[in-house]
Amino acid sequence: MKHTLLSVIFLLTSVLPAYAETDVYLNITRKGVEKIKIAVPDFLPDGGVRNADERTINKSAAILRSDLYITDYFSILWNNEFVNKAFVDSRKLKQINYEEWALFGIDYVVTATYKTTLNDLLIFTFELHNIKNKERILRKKYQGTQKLLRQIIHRFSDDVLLQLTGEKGVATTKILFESVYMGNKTIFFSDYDGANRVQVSNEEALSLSPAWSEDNMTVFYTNYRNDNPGILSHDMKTGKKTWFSNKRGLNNAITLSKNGEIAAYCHAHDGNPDIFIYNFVSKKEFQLTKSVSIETSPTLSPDGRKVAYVSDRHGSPQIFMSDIDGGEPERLTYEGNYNVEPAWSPDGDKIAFTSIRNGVARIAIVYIADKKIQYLSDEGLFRVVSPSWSPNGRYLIYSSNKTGKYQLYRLNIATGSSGRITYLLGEAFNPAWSFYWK
Amino acid sequence: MRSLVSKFSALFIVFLMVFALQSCGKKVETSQDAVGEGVEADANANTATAEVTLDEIKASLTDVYFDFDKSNLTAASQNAIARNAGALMKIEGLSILLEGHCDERGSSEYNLALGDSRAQTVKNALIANGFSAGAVSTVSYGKERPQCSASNESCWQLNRRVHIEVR
Repeated sequence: MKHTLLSVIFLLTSVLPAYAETDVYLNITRKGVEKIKIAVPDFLPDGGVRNADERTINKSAAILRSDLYITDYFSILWNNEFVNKAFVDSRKLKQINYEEWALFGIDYVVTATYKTTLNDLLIFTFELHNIKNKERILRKKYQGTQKLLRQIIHRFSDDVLLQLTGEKGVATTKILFESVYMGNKTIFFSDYDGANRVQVSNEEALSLSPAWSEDNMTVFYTNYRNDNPGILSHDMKTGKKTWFSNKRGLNNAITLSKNGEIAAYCHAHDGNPDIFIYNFVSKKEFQLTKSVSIETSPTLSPDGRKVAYVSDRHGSPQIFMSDIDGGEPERLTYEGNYNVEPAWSPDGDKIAFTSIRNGVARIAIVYIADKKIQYLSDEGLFRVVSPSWSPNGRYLIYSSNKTGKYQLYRLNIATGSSGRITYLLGEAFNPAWSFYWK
Repeated sequence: MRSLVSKFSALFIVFLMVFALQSCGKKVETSQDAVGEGVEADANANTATAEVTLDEIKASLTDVYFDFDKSNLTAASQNAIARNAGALMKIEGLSILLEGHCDERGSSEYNLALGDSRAQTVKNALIANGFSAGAVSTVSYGKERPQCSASNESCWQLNRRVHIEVR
């Protein structure tokens, strides 16, 4: 695992994302739920060792505001000197002055103080206050090295979300993607918001189609060493790489089940791409499809019992579904003549995919029960492709070339709001959202 | 798709015979030229002869093109394969790598599979034309190594190809 040196060239999203991007939610109806009004004043130092990074840490309240904003549950009070002064006054009084906070017209306030220790540890104390009820409803203390600053804040953001909405957040999860680096598509991973980017694959050979193991500790991807695309298994702790499959011919498009037991991938022997199922428990492999047509891009149901994949057995690529141990495949998509890149939702009832018609690529969802299709993006001139679900099923991450270059975006399935994630010179393709940390 | 290939196999063999006859004459001509040069040049004549001829063969090879989302052969691509087979068989024992490519439309994974099928189609057709099966490897690059980067049909056409690399 190697940290890329290019960080300085890229803009990282540590500020509030741009408001109201309106091109990717036309078919979703926004629910008429009023947003929770919340204030997040700048974090305050609380003794400890004075540190050169203090200004950065102080500014990092913006990370929490951004996290809360992304969930679309919150309306965040624009931070200003009055908000910050109210927090400083509260600190002096050693208690929150709820009457004063109520003047801002907010429901909740998040406050945080931090200390840096001699051995370079950061200690954060976060509090969440209910203004109307005049009570503190959550207090959390997190510590870690300064490298973990963003992770610590993401963690508290998920605490706030769970406390106020009952929803499990994804702020600490990661994303894998391809980006062109030194002339080759190379695998990177980053935080869910695009920050803390780390290079995974060696840039000397083309690398494609990354996937996570269920504990996020192993990353799988296709790699072209020796002119033969094989699937590497890359241990994120030790950096050790071993071949998962380097059979002669194409090995690609691996995906792993949430229960950690099953892997599905595409292998082409003698030019005939088919779906293979590997069971990590029994260590047995099974060739699922045996037709002369193309079968690729498998995705597994959350319980690991079913697999959906792309097949062109009827002349053009469409999505099919079957049990992982075989049986008659069921066709899921009938609209359009090019439906690819299926991604099974974490709640199991639908599959997102890329639909290409008249040169326009957009993302859609097929509901398994009635095969109804819902298009999530409008037919624009740019392409919207390669959907991948967040582990809570609330977001899809996808790649779009609407700026002229492919970058990653996030779509909130419930509300239809979207935001940009990457700003990379080498573009960004084929995202894969991680599972939850165990 | 495969049945299509086998249907055409017989046709290829006819093509092969025609081209084999033509190229036989050509081969003699080429090597005589080369030998002549070698004799005049130096003692490493034999090595030099082989290299020049191999370069000529490489230069005469052409990519085999496909229709969108298809891995079966058009009449033009069948002709290209027959010509390429004829050229490749001028030197005995050549090893080749067939690279399958696609245009930028569609998904990366589907195109990788499609490129693999295209490379295999050309492999089968070359073998049907008399080329040795053991000497052919295939690899698919899908849409990852385009030859032309504009987003229009004339460019896409150039990218939907199987490229023959002599190893």
